[in-house]
Amino acid sequence: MKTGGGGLISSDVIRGYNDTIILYLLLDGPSYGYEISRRIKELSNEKYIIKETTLYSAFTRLEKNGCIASFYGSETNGKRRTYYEITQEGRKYYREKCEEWELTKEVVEKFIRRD
Amino acid sequence: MDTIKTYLENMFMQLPRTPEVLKAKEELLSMMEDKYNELKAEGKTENEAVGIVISEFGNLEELAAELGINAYVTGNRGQNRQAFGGNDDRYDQDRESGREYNSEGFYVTMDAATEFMEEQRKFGIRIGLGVLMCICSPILLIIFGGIGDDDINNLLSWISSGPLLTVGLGFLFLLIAAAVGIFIFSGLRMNKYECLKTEKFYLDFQTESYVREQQEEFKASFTVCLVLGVVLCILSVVPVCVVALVLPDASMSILVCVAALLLLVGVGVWLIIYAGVRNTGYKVLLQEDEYDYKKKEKSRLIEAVSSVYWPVITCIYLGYSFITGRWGSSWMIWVVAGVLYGAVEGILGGTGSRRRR
Repeated sequence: MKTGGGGLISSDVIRGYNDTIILYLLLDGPSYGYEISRRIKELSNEKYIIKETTLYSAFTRLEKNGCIASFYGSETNGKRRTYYEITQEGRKYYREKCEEWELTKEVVEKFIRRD
Repeated sequence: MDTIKTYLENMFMQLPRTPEVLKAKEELLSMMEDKYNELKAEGKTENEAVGIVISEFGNLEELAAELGINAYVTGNRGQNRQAFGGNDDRYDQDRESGREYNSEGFYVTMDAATEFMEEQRKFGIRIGLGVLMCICSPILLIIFGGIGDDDINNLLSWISSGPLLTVGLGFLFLLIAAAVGIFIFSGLRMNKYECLKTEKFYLDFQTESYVREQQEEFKASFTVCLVLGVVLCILSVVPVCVVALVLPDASMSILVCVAALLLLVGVGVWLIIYAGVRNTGYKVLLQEDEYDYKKKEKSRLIEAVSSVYWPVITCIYLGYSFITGRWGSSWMIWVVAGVLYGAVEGILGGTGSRRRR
C-alpha cells in the first residue's frame, strides 16, 4: 500500500476498515467523493492514500447496506455532484466497527513486543 | 484533463453498459476531476497533476466485483504478485457465458503478456521465413539444371553439369540449414512461454481487456494475411500455366516460372503461418478454444504434426525430384502441401477437442 510515511500499511487490515474510515468522516455532516479522499490523506498524515476505485466501491457497498444515502447537490457551474450522508444504520454500524477495532487492537497488542 | 478522460474511457470500455456501471464512471470522473483541479490549484504542472491522478486511481477489479458484473474477477488479496511461477488460490466469479471456473495457477502480469505477444509476433515472422527458405531452396537447382535442357545454349549445357549444379545444390543446403537454424532458435526462444499453453494461469481484468483489444485490432490483418496467403498459393501456378500454353518449347522459361511458383507459394505460406501464429498467441493468453482453461491437459498432436509436416514435405519433394528427375512437375507437391496443411490443421483441431471431452 502506497504511503508517505516510513512503513507499509497492511492492505488486508486497512481494507477491513475502509468503511469505518468513511463513516467517521460523515459523522459530522455530508460530504462528497474527493473531499473524503482528501481528508483521509490529511488525517492519516499521508500514510494512507485511498484509491478512487476503492473509495467508490466502498460508497456503493455502504449505500447497498443502508449505511449511507446519496443525493445530488447543485454546483455553481451546473455540474451535479454526488453527496453522501450517514444514516442511523450507518451510525450503529460505525459504533460496532469501533468496538471491533478496540477488541482487535487489544488482542494483537498482547503479541507485540517492543524492544 | 483529456488524458484522464481517455484513461477512464479505456478502462471502462470492456465493461457492460449497465446503469450502475455508467453511474460509477460518472462519479469516478467527477472525483478525478476534483482531485486534478485541486492539484493544479496547488501549483502542480499539467503532467504532474495527471500523473498523480492516474497513479492513485486504482484498478477495476474491486469495482467490477462491487458492481456485480459477471466479469472475470481476480481479486488480489495481497500486494505480492509473482509472474510465471507464483501460485495463489483465488476465488472467482462466473464468466458472462455462464461457465464457471476455479481459478488456480500462476498470475501473468501485464508486462509478461505484452512481452509474450511481441515474441509471438516475431516467432510468426521467423517460422514463416524458415518455411519460405525450405520451399525456395531448390530454386537455383531447378534453374541451373534447366539450362542444360535448352538446346540453344550448348556451351552452357556443358558448364551446367558441373559447377552450376554444385552451386545450385550448395544454395539448397545453405537455405535448408539456415531454415533449420531459425526453427531451432525460435523454438528455444519460445520455450519459456510453453507453460502458458500447458499450465493454468490467470490475467487481471486490465490485462485481459488489453489483450482482447489487441486481438480485435489484429482481426483485420489476420483476415488479410490469410486471404492473401491462400490467393498467392493458388495464383502461383498461373505463370507456369501461362508460359506452358504460350511457349511450350521454352523449357527454360517454364523452369523460371516454376521458381517463381515456389517463391509465391513460399510467401503465401509465410503469410498464412504468420497470421496463424499471431492468432494463436491471443488465444493462448485469453485461454480460448484449444487453449481453454479447462482443457489444459490437451494433446500436443497439432504441434507435433506441424513441426514434422514441413520437413517431411520437403523430403518428399526433394526425394521425388531427385529420383525421378521431374523437377518440372514435382513443384505440384508444394501447392498441394500448402492447401493440405490447412485441412490438416482443421482436422486436428476438431479431433483434438473431441478427444479432450
